[in-house]
Amino acid sequence: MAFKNSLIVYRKELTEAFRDKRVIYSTIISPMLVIPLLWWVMGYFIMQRNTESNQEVLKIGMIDHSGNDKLSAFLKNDNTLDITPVTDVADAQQQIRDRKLRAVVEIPQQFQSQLDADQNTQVQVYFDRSNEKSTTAEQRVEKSLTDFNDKIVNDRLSRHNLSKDILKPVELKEQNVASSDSMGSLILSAILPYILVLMGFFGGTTVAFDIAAGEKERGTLETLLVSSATRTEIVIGKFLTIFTVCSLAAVSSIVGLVLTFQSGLKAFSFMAKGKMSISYPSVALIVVMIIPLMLMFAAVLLALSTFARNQKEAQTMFLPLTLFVTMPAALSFVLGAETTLKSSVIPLMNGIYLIKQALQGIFDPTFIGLALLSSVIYAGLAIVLSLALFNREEVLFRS
Amino acid sequence: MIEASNLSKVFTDKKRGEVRAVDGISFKCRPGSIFALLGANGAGKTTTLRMLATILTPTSGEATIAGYNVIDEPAKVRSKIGFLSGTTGVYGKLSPREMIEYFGRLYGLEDSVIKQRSEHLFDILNMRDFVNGRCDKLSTGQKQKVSIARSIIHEPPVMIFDEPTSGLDVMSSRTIMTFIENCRKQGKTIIYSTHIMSEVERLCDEIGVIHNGQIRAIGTLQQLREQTGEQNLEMVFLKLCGEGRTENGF
Repeated sequence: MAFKNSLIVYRKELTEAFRDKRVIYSTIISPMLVIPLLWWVMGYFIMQRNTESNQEVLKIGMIDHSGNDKLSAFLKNDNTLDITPVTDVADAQQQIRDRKLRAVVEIPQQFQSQLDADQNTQVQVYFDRSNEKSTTAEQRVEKSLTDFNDKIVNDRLSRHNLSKDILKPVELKEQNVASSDSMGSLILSAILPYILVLMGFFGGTTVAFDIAAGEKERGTLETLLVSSATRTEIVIGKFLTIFTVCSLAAVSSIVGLVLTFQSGLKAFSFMAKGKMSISYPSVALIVVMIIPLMLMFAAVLLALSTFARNQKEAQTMFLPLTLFVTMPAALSFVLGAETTLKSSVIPLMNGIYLIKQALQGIFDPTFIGLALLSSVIYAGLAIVLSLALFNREEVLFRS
Repeated sequence: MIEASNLSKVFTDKKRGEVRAVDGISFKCRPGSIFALLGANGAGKTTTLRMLATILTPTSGEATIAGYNVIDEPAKVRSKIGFLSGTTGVYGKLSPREMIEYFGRLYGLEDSVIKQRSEHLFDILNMRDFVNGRCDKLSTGQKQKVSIARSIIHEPPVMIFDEPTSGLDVMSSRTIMTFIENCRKQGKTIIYSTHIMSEVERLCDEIGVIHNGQIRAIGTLQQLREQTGEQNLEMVFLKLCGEGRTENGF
C-alpha cells in the first residue's frame, strides 16, 4: 500500500504526542477550559465595572456666578451627581486633576436673565478626558443639560402656542433589523478568528518542535532514516501529525468558545451583547476553511523544526514567525467581514475574512472559492518546502 | 557483502569552503567477518558509514551492500542493513516493546513475525524486566539493549556499527561486544567504526585505518604489524597516520 509507512509514522507520532501533558494542555485543556475561563473573568470584571460605574454617585463642582438659576437646581435633582460649590476656576481645575472632583460646571452671571429673555447662553464644563470617571461625569452633565434644554425649549414653544413637533418636520424612525443573535455573532466574528488562528498555530508547536528538531536532538532521526521508510513517507507522517494536533486545537477553541457563550452565564451574555447562534452552513464553511489554514501552519512549523538543530533553536526561530500570525489575527478585532476580492488571496487574512463572513451569514461563492483555492496552494507550497528541507543533507545534519 | 569503491563525500562549509570528509576510499567486508574502520575523531568514519547506510549520498564513487547500489537502490539497501551507533537515541514516550514494533512495521514485517522475533530478542538480551516501561525511564545500558533489538528486528544480513560503545560503561560495552560476536557467528557482514584499539584487537578480522578521509592501510592486525614494524596497535595506528613518535619522544 502506498504511503503505508506514513501511516505507521503518523500513528506512532500521535501516540507519543498524546502521552505528552504539554500537548494535552495546548490542544484540549487550554482552548476548551482556560480560554473560556479567561473570557469569563474578563466579562465578569467588565460587567462589574460597568455596574459600578452606572451606580456610583460622582462628585461635581459648581461655580455659580448667577446665584439663583434653574440649572443648578436641575443638576442638584440628578441623584447620580453630588454637587459641591467651588469658588474659582483655578481651584476647580486643580481639584479635577487631584481627582477630588470629577467635573466642574461654571454657570455665568447673566445665565438666568438671558434664558428668561429667550436668549441663548453658555455653560462651561471642566473635566479630565484622560480620566474615566471624569469623562463619565462630563457625559452625565451633558445628559442633564440636554434634558434641561428640552424643558426650556418646550416652555418657550408653549408660551408661543407652538407644538414641539415644529422643530422636527421630518422625524427619522430607526429600526435595527439585527436580532440579538446577529449582534452576538458580530461579537463572535471578532473573537473567534483570533482565538482559532492563535490556538491552531500555537497548539501545534510542542509537537512540531519535538517531531523533527527533537528527533535530531535525541539522536533518533538517524535511526529513522535508516529504516525502510522513504523521506517523503516520513515527512508525510510527521506533517499529518502536526496537522491533526493543530486542527484539534482549533476545533477545541471553537467548541470551547461557542459552548461557553451559549452557557447562559451572565458574564458571557454581557460579552456577547445577547445570545448568539451559528447556522450549520456557517459551521461547515469554518471547518472547511480551517483545513487549508491548519495544513499551512503544520507545513510551516515542520519546515522550521526540520531546519532547526534542536528544540531550543526551533523556539528561538519561532519567535519572529509568531508576528506574521498574531498581527493578522489581531486585525480580526477591527476589520469588518466585507472586503474586496483581493483579500481572498492574502495568506491567513483570507481565512480570517472567510470565518468572519461565515459567522455573519455572508456567503460569496467567488470569495469562498478563491480563498480556499489560494489557501490550498499556499499549504501545498509550504509542504513542498518542508519536504525539500527534509531531503537536504546539510539541513538534516547541520552542526 | 559490502563493497566501497573510490567513495568520496565533499561538504561545503561557509568558513572552510569545500571539505573532503571522505576522499576516494575503497574496501570490502565479507560475510562472517568484522571489518574495523579505525580512525581518530573527524577522520571520516561516520560519514563513510552514513553513506553506506544511505543517510548521505556520496559525491562520487560507489558502494554496494548485499548486491544493491547505495545510490540507485537505497530502499533495498536499507532493508538489508542494521544500524547501531553510540549516539542512537530511543523514543522516550514509547515502551521498548512499542519501539521495536514500530521499526518492525517500518521494515514491512507482519505483526505475528514482529511478536515472535521481539519475544526472542527480549529473552536473549535479558530485557523482560523493562520491556513494558517507558524508554525515558531506562538506564543507558538498557537503552542500548533496546537499540540493539531495534537494529536486528528485521534480521539484516549486514550490520553497521558506528562507535557503538561510545559513552557506555564496561558492562554495557561488554553486552555490545558479545552481540557483535554473535552477529559474526550468524554469518553477517559487519563493519565497525571505532577509535578504541582494544575493541579492534578483540573483535576485528580486518582493519582499515582511515585518516583525513583516506584509507591509509587495510589488512589483518598481523599484516599491519608487519607493514609498520610495530607490535602495539596504538603505535601501528599512529605510524600509519603519519603521527609517529618524534625525536623528543612526543
